[in-house]
Amino acid sequence: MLFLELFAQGLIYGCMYATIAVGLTLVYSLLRILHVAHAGLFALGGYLGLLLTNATGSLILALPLAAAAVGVVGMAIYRFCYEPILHRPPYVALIASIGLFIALEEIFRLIFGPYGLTYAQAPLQETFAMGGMTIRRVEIVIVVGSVLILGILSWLSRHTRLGVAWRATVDDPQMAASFGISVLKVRYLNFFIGSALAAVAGVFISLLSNLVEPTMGGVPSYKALAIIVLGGLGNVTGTLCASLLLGVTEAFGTIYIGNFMDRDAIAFAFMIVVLMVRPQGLFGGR
Amino acid sequence: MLRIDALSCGYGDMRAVHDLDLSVARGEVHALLGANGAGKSSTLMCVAGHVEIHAGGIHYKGVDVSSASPMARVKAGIGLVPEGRRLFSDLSVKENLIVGGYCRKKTATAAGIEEVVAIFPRLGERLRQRAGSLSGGEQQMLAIGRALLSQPELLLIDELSLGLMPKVIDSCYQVLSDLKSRGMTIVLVEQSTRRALAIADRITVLESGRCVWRGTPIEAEASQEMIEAFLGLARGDGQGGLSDGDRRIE
Ligand SMILES: Nc1ncnc2c1ncn2[C@@H]1O[C@H](COP(=O)(O)OP(=O)(O)O)[C@@H](O)[C@H]1O
Ligand SMILES: [Mg+2]
Repeated sequence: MLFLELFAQGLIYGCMYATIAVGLTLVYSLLRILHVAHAGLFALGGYLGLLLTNATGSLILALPLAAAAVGVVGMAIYRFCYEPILHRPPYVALIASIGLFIALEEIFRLIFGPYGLTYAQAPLQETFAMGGMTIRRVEIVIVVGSVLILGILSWLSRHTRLGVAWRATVDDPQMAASFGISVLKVRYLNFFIGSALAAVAGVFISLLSNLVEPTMGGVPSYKALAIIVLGGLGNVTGTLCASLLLGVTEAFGTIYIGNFMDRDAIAFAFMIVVLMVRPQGLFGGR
Repeated sequence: MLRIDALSCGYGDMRAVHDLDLSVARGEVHALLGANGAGKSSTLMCVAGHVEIHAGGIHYKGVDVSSASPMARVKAGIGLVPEGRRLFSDLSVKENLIVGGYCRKKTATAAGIEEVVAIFPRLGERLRQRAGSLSGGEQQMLAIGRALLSQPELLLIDELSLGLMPKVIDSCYQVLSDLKSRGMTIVLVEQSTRRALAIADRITVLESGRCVWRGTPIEAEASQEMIEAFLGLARGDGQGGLSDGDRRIE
């Protein structure tokens, strides 16, 4: 029974990690940038979701609004932060990204205050029993929502012209451009979708803990990096698998090795062990 | 159809092509020969819009396209079969063709795919297969098919026979002569001189980025030794000769 419960916990966190990390992988595969500021957008999503829910009283309205708004912010970050330095070596963009992430944290602190905000009336907290476990509705929503959103995106990337164009651009941008694909448009789309996903994950976690705070992006920022490295940098399927694996590993690790290792340290121990055995990541191979 | 005037192009400070003049009439097949590193690929990629022009210009159908984007050029009808195929290897055969037709109306794509499948039935059997998993010959067919989907009037083909088995090369050349008889203009870069001479109307030989010989296949036969000397310069193994260019294995 404990086993099942831990597995469910792992699944819930794994789905959330996947929703964050996919956006990061998308940016990496297209631009070879480690987009650390992605976690800042995750936090922004949490704030907007919470504030909009408190203002409108409707999560169903707030979630897509927050996602869309953060998607636009993501596009702006590409346009004003990354595009001007794309021709520089990759570490320049990495430094810019870290700087931006820190700036975002401080902006949240300035605008929303240093302490956390909570929902006026947290939605989806009803519990019910399932298979002997007590489960909150929000946990179901996280799992079903993540699977649904990522599934739809995957389907779109295979069955629409724009999706195919996006995958072609990831494969070989120069050739994609030479067949008439607007690489710029693909990049904007990429940032919009990736950032919107981060926002959704931010709203998920705010529902799970009924809290948003300026530093909430800190842990996800390095965890998502660990995940995309494990998944074989730029490999979407690998990223999904690594997310779930990390979620489950953490859940079990907290119980069995939690005495001497913090939950958040497990991700890194896991990454170090895996990279010692497979330096290309669990699912890398290119 | 295509006129290249005193073109110099290259990569940053490095100049790959010097002062090249080249003119291709509509419906003509123009072969571009030369040893490795002579600047053949750079010339083609420059026409397609991927290599920086240092001096001179490129006119296509009487319009100066020197500063046009690759996208604008493919829309204008310049199709590219690049060196090394450069297929989208994670995409399926069909998706590669869809990307090929991206600059045209969506409705034209289905018809274009049917057309390509009629030309290359082997691709038709593999539409859902990953492009990266195809054999070398099939990949070259797909690279040609992908370019055809963009409805080109001028086709730039780089190293058509490189790495392919003679039988596959035969069928690729059969397709080229069919295209030629339907009025397609082609600029062909080819290691196998014999193949190139058999299909070309005109020939330009490059060496170190400069034109060193130009003429028709008949004139080329006459000055065979001189051309062989140019082609053999960098290679020195006789593979570029007029007689035995196909001795490559897949
Ligand atoms: N992407 C590139 N960057 C810098 N130099 C290049 C690049 N591609 C080719 N070159 C150089 O340009 C010259 C011509 O190369 P290329 O056009 O590929 O010749 P060919 O196709 O005739 O073998 C060579 O000296 C080569 O080293
Ligand atoms: Mg070449």
